[in-house]
Formats: sequence, structure tokens, C-alpha cells
Amino acid sequence: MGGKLAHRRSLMRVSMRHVKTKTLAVETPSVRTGRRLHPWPIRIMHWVNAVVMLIMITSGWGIYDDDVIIRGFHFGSFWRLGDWAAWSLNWHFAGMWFLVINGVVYLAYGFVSGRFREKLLPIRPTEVVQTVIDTLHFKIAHQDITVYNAVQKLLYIIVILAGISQVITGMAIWKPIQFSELVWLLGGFQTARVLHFAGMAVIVGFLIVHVALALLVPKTLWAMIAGGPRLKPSGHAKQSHVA
Amino acid sequence: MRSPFRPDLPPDAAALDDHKPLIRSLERRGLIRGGLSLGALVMLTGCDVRRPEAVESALLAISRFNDGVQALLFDPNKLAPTYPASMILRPPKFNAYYDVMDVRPVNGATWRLEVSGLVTDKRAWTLADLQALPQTSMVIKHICVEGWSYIGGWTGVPLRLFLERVGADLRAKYVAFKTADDYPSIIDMASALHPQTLLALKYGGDTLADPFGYPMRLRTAVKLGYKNPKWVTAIEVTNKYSGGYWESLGFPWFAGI
Repeated sequence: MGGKLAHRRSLMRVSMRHVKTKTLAVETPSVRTGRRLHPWPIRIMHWVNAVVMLIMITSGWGIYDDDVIIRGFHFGSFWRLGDWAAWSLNWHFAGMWFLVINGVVYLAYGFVSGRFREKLLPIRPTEVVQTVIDTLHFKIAHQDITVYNAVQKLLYIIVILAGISQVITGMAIWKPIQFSELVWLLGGFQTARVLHFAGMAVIVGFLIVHVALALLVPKTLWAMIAGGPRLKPSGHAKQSHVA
Repeated sequence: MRSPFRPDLPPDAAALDDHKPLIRSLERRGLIRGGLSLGALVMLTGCDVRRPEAVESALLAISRFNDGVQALLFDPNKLAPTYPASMILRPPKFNAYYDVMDVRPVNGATWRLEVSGLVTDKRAWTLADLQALPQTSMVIKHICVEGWSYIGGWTGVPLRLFLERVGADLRAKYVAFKTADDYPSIIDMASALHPQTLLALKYGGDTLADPFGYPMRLRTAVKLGYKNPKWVTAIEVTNKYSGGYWESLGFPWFAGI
């Protein structure tokens, strides 16, 4: 009974809206309630990941500083989470749980929902080259924020792989005896450490570009908060909602 | 910030031997005293500006949870990789909460190892007593919590064998250590019984040099460097957690690798 009522109410709302926008009879209720560019689980996981990544990166810098990999290269106290190594370590070993749990759920969601396939594939090399050329000419297409260009796809795949790699190399340097086979595969303890550092550098590099572009095209930032435009069943935005 | 675990220069064991009487006469420059009172101050106030109390206790709660996870991950039968003797670093890297010049050598002739707690035989051990027990050698990696590592060769009495000799209750939770340099430490029984946990008397085939724990130090392949107390003077088998030097300053207790 209640379900029926709710359905009727939503129909009413839709029809009223149609009258107002004069796009009569084009949309059906199922399209009106179609999923958004960023469904709520993605938005929650994105922002959890944003906070946890910052914790992991800055606490990692605090741990790094006690035995640097690049001679003479330190992170100033402003950049470090934890006022000395013990607390940077405690932050790192607390953050790791949130990173891994959030990351595993994200990966499962991405594969099961088809989001990865839909958003990140296919990547054609010629498109990558064309996008790079366009970008260098300051021709950044961002009319339809629901479709990622080839470079975006590539960067998102790289940063997802870097995140996975951080967990693997992190496990190796956290438990080099219990996971000694993993350490061996990675080429030894010190190599695993350097790989863990390099993974951080890749993620920080991504972060700089990612945040800069989000600020350049603020509607992408808003979309990650509010959900963004609703999608047609094909996965692209409905024409009427794209600015 | 200079590392608290590692001085800038590696020590020359020979030079230290030459200057033993001089070093013996040195005071430890109040560093230990200063360090301890700083630690006490931190514990008294319980917080500082950059580390609110609520955040600190949350992090410590997760750290204790992690100790439990680490204990679960610990496989008592898993051996640490070993290396050929040719890869042993000589001399080993010095690490302590003070500088190598502040090392206070221990006299092996008068040194005694006290045994207490859940054991049947509480008599004190001399160095000769320990040397008379069956010895084991291992060439393993030392891994510091800071990230550096080196390969070292250690010879000594397996802690399991020693605990059996003194009739220790092997179902007790902890084995605790006291040292001549005021560096208490405590490890879980499972790690204490691991075949690569030794009461080390020798390094690279030679008697331990002063900076590295002469006459006896703990050396375990399954824990981070800071869980390897040097100049051990007392061993206690206990069910009561007694804390350690770095642990009291915030570092994780289990520190398994």
C-alpha cells in the first residue's frame, strides 16, 4: 500500500516537473530515478579514501625522515603527521586498516557493479596521444563530466594499481619474516621499502593533478559530493542534464 | 632530527677496547637521566599541543589491537631467511637511545644473569655457565623500525633451551629483560621460544664487543631491532606486562616482523 502511494507521488512529482520544464512525455519515472554519475557508495568511499590517503602519506613521511632513502631529502615538520617517529608509526598502523577495508570494498564494488568496465575501459593508445596533444593546446574537454578521456582513464587505473601496490609492499615491510616469500618476490627488504616510497610518489603525483583539475572544473568536485548528473542506461549523462 | 636509534658514525670496536678504562670512567652525560625525565613528563601531562589526549589514546588502542593481530600472524615455525657468513657486516651497526661514546662496558668476570618469576631454578648464571650450554649460530637480518637493516652473525644459547634449563613455565605470557643500560624490554613467550631467538654471546665468531652487548644480549630474528636488549642482567618469566623503553614512549609493544 505504502509502496503504491510512494510510486504515485513520484509520478506526480515527475509530471509536475515535466510541465515546468516543458519536456513533456520524454522521460519515464525509471529514467528520472536513474543512477547518478557517482552513486553514494562511491562518494563515501572516495572521501574516506581521501582522508585516509592523506593520513598514510603524511605519517609515512614522518617515518621516512628517521632513515631517509634519498640522501639529504627530508620532509619538514609541517608535512609530517605525528610529532615524532613513534606517533607517525601509530598513525600509519591505524590508517592502514581503513585504507585496506575501504580499498577492498571499493574494488569489489567497482568490479561487481561494472563501474570499472564502464568508466575506465577501453583505453586506446591513439586517444591517449590525442588527449595529451589537446591538453598541451589547453583544449581540455570537460563538457560531459560523465565520460572520462583516455588520459583520465589511464591515470585512474595507475593510481588504483599504485594503491594496491602500496598495500602489498607495505605488508612486505611490516612483516618481512612472516611474509618473507613476498619480500623475496619484491627483491628484498630494502627494495620493497624503495617500492613503497615510489608508490607514494606516484599517488602524490596523481593527487596534485587530480586536485588541480577538480579545482579547474569545480562541477566535478560538486559531483563527487552531490552525486552529479543522472545517467541514461548506457552510462552517459542524459542530454537534458548536461550544461 | 637526528635519529635516536643510530649515531652518525659506526663505532670501531678496536678503538673502544683501547679506551675501555677511559670510557668506563665517563658519565653518561645525563642523557639517560634527561631522556627518562622527558619521558616521565610526557606521561605525566599525557598530551601536548600537537597530540590531543583523545587522539593519542585512540591511536594507542589501535596499536594494542595491532599487537593482537601481530601475535595471530606470528607463525612459531616460520624461520627468518638466513645468509652466508661472508655477508656479515663487521662491525655491526650500533644502535641505542644514546651515543656509542656513552656506552658503559660491563665486566664479564663479575657479571651475573639473574633469573626470576615463573621458574623452578632461580640461581644466578655466570658467563662461563652460559658458555657451557649448547650454542647455536645464525646469520640473520637486523631490521630497525626506522627502515635500515644489516646482516649479522650471532652465536649463543637458544632462549628456549635456557628457559627449559631453568624450569620456566612455558605457558607464561611474557619473558621480560632488564639490562645494564636501563633498557627494560619484554617479549611474548611464542617469540621467546622461536628457534631464532638467542641469548647471544658472540658476533661473527668473536666475543661480543662492548658496544653490542658484552657479555650477553638478546638477539631475535622475529622482532624489530628495538626488541633486542643488550647487556642483559636479568630475565623474568611472567604473566604481567612490564613495558619497555621505547614502548613507554609510544612505540608498539609486539614489534614482530
